[in-house]
Amino acid sequence: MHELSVTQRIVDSVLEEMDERGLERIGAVHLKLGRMTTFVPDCVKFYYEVLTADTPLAGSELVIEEINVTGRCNNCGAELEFDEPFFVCPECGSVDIEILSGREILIDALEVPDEREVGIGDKGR
Amino acid sequence: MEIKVVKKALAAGEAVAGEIREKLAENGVYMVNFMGSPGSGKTAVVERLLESGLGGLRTAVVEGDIATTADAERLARFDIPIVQVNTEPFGGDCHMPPNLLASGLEDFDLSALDLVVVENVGNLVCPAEFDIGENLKVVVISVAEGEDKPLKYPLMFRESGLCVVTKTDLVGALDFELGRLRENISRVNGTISIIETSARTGTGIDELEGFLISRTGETIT
Repeated sequence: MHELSVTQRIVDSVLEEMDERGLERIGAVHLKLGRMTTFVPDCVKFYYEVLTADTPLAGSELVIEEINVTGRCNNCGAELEFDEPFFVCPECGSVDIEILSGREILIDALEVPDEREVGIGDKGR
Repeated sequence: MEIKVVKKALAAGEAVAGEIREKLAENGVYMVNFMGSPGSGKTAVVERLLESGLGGLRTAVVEGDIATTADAERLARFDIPIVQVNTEPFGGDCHMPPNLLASGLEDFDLSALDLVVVENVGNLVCPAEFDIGENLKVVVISVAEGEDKPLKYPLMFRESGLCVVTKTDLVGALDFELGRLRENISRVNGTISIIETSARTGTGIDELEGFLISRTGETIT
């Protein structure tokens, strides 16, 4: 439910991008998804398949790369990586932590089948 | 062949939020986004704040819900501009999307306001994810929800600048320790302000009122 609307935005965004670039088919969409978002990769993938069914994206793969949560301590400058949402600097104990990554919902790249592959695929139909 | 795109999936919504932020700034209006679980007491806190008078700040309220106009009706006794935004009567968006808020704000004469209070859709997950152009995100949590919620819903507590703890009059009836809640909140967000309140007894409402008045003053003057 929760992932449905964000996945719709991802799909819309990719369709727009295809339109702008004059792409008719896409093999895969690469998405960077921060671990500090509230979206579950498997749910996003599930909805992606449902939402793209009747679009030029039908059959394309959604490849999700999860991005770790990293930050910087504003007190001692330590670069930190977090496995749990406890934002306390292990070096100096400060709670003044700036999050640097982990909040991304980024369409990183589109994979376009090269012409030869498209040709083979077309023959197969 | 791979084509590099690097495009934020929520860019369209963020652009609308940016427009809202700009419009509010032009009109010298501060906007607060109250978020929290259904039943955490968001509306009751807003009611008490409106009763307190908010130091004469010219205030308007945007009520967000999936369905019903119950909350707007509840606030109708206050002589202020109120608009109810419903995301979808049969179970739609779990948060206030920026575009719906933008159309709600069109009902207000922003030049005649100092403060807009948004009560988001009751939910401890999704509203934290979306920028709506607010100056301050507030998470409302009642003592009945348990001390562990900041650890279970960290994004909400991490993104908020203020946590309003509600229903503190119930602490005695529950197996609840305010100290443990504070500890869990600060593990997730060590710089968040915390105000303990009870809408029933009025405890902490003055402090919350003062907080919002001073933040509004700092921003719009």
